[in-house]
Amino acid sequence: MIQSIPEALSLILTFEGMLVLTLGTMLGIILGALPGIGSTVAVAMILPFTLTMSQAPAILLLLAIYAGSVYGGSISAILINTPGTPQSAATCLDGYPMAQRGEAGKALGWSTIASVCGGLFSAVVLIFAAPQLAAFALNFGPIETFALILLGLTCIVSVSEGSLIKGLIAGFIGIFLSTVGGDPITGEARFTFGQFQLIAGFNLLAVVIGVFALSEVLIRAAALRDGDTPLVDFDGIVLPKLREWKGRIKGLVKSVLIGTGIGILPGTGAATAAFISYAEARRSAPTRDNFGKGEPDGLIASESANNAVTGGALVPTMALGIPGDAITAVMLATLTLHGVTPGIRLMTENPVLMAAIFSGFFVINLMLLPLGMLVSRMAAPILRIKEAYMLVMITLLCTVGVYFVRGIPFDLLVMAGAGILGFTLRRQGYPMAPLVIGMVLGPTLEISLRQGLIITDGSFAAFFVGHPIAAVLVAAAFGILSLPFVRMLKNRKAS
Amino acid sequence: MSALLSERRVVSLIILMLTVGLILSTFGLEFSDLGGAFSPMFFPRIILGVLLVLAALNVVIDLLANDTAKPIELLPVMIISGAFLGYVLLLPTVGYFISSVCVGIIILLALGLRNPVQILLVPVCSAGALVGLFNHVLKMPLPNSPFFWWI
Amino acid sequence: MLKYSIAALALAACPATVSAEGFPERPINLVVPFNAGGGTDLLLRAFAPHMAEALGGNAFVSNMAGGSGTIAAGALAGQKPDGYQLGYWSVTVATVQPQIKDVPYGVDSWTPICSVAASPTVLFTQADSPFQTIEDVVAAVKADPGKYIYGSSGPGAITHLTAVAAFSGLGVIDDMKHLPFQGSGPALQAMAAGTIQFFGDTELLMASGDFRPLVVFNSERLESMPDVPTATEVGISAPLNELYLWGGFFGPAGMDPEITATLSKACEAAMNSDGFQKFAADTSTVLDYRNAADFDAFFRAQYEANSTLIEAAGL
Repeated sequence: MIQSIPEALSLILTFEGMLVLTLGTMLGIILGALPGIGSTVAVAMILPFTLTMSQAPAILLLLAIYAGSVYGGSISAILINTPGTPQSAATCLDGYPMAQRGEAGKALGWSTIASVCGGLFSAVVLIFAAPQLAAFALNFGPIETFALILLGLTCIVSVSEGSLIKGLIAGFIGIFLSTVGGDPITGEARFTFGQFQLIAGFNLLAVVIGVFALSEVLIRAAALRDGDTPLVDFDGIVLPKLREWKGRIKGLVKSVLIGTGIGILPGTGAATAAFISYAEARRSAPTRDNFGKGEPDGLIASESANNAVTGGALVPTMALGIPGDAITAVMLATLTLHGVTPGIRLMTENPVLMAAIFSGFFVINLMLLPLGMLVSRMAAPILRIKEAYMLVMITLLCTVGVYFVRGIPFDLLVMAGAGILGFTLRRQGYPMAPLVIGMVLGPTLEISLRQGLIITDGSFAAFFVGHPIAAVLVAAAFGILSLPFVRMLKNRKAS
Repeated sequence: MSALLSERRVVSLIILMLTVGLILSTFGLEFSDLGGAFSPMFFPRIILGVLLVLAALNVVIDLLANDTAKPIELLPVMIISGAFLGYVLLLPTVGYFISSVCVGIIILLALGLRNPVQILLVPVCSAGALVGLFNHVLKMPLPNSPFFWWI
Repeated sequence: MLKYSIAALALAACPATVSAEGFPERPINLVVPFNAGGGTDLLLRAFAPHMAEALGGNAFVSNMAGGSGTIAAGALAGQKPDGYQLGYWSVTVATVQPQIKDVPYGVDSWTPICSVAASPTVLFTQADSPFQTIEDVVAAVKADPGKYIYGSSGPGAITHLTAVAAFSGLGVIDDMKHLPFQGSGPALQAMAAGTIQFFGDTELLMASGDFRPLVVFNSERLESMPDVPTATEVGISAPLNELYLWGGFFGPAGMDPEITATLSKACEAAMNSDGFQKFAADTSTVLDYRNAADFDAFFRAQYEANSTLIEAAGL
């Protein structure tokens, strides 16, 4: 693998190779930054063009779109509070308050550096330890996955602004919404009430776009006095100074590790990683009291983690030929199309191609910084147009983005419904981030719990016997849940 | 003391009632009776059960608390909400372009814009650009109108 | 007034009677019932340009995912049978889902156009497993009821049906557990980890990992694995002894026979084109053309045969 890198670099460092990487990354950032257009749709848009390309450029183009769009989602999340992708939902929590304070440029600076660090680290991990980590990931059976998701759910507590109970309600509504549709074990339709369309369930992206982007349109309409003021004050990225990093490095490292680790596990993903990392930062960072009010540490936590996932997700994909999510599945299918069989022999049989993919991935992450600055500079004048125009464009883009996820008009109805519901709930102090967490984690929580019970013949207690990883994770979940009470007791004693 | 039925209390009551309704519905439906983890209703019942407790607590909290939501400009919100619903319901039948232009015009009007050139130009250009890009450049068709297959 | 002029416009723009002459007048939409980037999607994207060339018109691919493909089929079933919208349904979308779910289509909702691909299915175990033959498996399961687990990519999927065909045909299905996953990837990972022991899929799976084929559901032994017995040889009786992952084009019921014939011929020409043949070779897709009449008969026979399987699966 490593010895093939020089040969691989000769594939990448050509005019064609660099052109593909640059254009792909840039396009990925732009598509990700458009509200409503997520990574999946971005990849689907580019897919037809890769069919006529040769092996390495085709995969590199998809990778560039993938990494670029995950980063790009943070731009709209910070500037206009509408995450282009579910994985940027956690970025809104601190990014948007910063932008409202007039520090949009700075917020993007933090998120850019964090994204680049996350991506680069996961690329290094991918190059040096993919086979070993993929083998480790096999230890994660249904029971371990269940425990991990349980741990992930505790972050609902930490992202519940204002009212804990309203946050929990939003979270459980999210989990419930994820159970509508076909049952994952028996295939029967649940909660469809005779409506055939509901058999497909509520699409995550349709709900995310509804509760964040469309409800934002309504909120702005409700508060609008004159339609002429621009949305946000933004002139381009302001990179953080070196001394501003003081005290933040530890959090960055931790988030990158969380992101890479979660990316490797099957059935999770960038949104899960961003939320878990955000929750962990909120628990342990020295600045935790400022979280949710525009704290750079919150931004760093979510953005470094979601970009680290991109590399992590490639570990099982490339080492075992097992895709971790929809996008890596597309990459494997593309490989097949070019006559390369994905599977456990992928790395040994195609060392140069794999080395080219991995080092190309490293280069893509390096390019995020200059290209991110370029794209946000280009976006600045667009953001200066009238707010009313912007709201129309957001609405039209969201429709396009949601329509292309599955191509079914029903999802648009879900989006509109979620928008109105989101507006109503947000107005009454129900935070929307927990709802998204619930919808993201719900399906995995359910299937891993029920699979575990099938394996143990219905004994929940057997989950913890002979499953040390699961036991540790569940203990950690309870630890995090009890932390606010422990702190409360401590404070009482102190006073 | 504000009105007994403030907006916030109504919302928390609706959540509680919906939860109760959904729980009841899980007992009325017919599913293959395999029991335990095999039952399709096993997991939803757990989730709805927790939600029921939370929703009940929430109603109590909202009845005790006494804050009212900030007043808003209700008219544009109502118009735009209605426009959203009409938009997504009409879109499959009349196509993306026509419905998008309509919803764009309604949003701009609801937000108080009155210059006819702007009101027409912004939606037509945005929707037109998207249809051109997806239907004709990328060949990923958005729903087209029954009148002309090309928009 | 406005209503009338819109109606008039509609009439002028698309004539109510679809004539076979001059077909196609506008682009043909090939519907993939799954997400962009999957196996079916790539197959159709490779197929579309050759189909367009054979028809002398234009063809594009659109995706409609959800409900294991039933959303797309349900939507197409109610459309005008004008030949401009065709769906590519697999065996599960066309014959299995309508028998296990309440969907707005059935065996009579379609005008079959042509079949494109068909691969026999194979039951696999991990290469390092102690089971050398299917007889070993039967003995082990009988000795230890309730211990062994077969996985699938989801309830009602071809991976599920393959395992059901094997274990039901051998009479041991009640002594085994079924563990469905969300997609083949997690299921194969679970097999590598030892959580599940058996997984059914097409022979394509062999290339991607270390697996041991146990039995093939084909009328004869496969060229690629000559030592593996067929289901009939190990004592699995009809209709469980043959199971194929097939797919082909369907239009809504009631299409003009001339248009059906035109499309069916174009389909054959596209499948024989050099470009598509190369695609099939690169992706090891087993091509299997049937014209409209043959495909109709095949489809109806499969619909019947699979009802036995569905009953055995307890779906």
